Amino acid sequence: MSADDAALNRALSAVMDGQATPAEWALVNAAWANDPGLRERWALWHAAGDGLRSAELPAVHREPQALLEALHAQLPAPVVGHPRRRDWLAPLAVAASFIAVAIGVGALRPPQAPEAMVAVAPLATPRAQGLSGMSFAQTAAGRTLPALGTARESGLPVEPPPEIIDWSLTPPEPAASRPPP
Amino acid sequence: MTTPAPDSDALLVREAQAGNRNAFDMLVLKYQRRVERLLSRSVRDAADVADLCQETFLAAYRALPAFRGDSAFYTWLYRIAINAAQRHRARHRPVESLDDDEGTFGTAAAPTDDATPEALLASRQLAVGVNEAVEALAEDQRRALLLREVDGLSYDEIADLMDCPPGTVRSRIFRAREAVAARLRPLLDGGGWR
Repeated sequence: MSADDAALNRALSAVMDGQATPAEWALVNAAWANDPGLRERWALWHAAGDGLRSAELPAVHREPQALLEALHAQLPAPVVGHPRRRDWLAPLAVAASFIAVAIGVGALRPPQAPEAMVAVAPLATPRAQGLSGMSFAQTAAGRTLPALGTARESGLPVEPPPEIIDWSLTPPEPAASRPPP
Repeated sequence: MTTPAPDSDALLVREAQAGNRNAFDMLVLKYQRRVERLLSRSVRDAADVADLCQETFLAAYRALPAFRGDSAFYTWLYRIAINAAQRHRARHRPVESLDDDEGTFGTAAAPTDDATPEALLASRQLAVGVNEAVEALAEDQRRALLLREVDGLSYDEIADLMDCPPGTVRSRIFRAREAVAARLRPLLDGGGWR
């Protein structure tokens, strides 16, 4: 195993444990799609973990890679190079919206003194009015996944959100099922 | 004070919700075996199990934007699989109760379609093979791996217990996984990855 491979697999191990650094995640993420050995190792390591937590380790009904291929054939194409919305942009837009609304409310109040009008008037610009038109919902809507939106628009059956499904069976107990920590 | 173990799915779920297909693939490969085992309890035909497994992950992908993280990703996926199995049973004559009193993937109930003596034996032999591989590890690697995989401790917690730096824990767990996988691979190649 080369040093690069060792570093990659060590990073994979950290990702598996939820303790990867951003650099380790970037390493694994960059290699994943073109490295079948990495995917096989990931499946194998999880199988071993399952085996350690159970007295049985049943075989799977289909080769793991085959399941991925079947899923990829039915999922919308991944968005390559899609620029991510900057984390600071949404809060900034919301803050600007609040400021603009506050200014707008102030402008609607009956004038109390000529000085107040002088103070408000320069801020009631078209730019400020435009910002006030941006609602929180519009800002939040910008976070919708383009790829997933495509899936819905493609006519595929859409599953209702699982959290609101009324199912009568008992969910797995965290301690017994050993969900990943 | 040591850092408790983080949710190992959190990063993958967040990335998958942001449209990262690689992260979703990782979740699929991680949970495929457990989902199939769950489905096998109510569906006899292996081909149906495979189809329902695929249906489960497709539904999960589509519903992922609505996943708020109120429950573990695994619990959420479990519910989707149960719903898929229920729809399957509604379409076909039920052959077996779906009651899953234990509510777990990893314990007593044997998969329905794997209930033949040969399959059950193979299933147990695989688990035995894993445990033998772990027993063969160097003591420090074995302890680190078991503290992580079985006890679910974080690297910091394991480092504290083993009186070594967290970086050493990382390396021990990684090397342990490599060694176990090397022993497990021939067993799975011989019928495990059907």
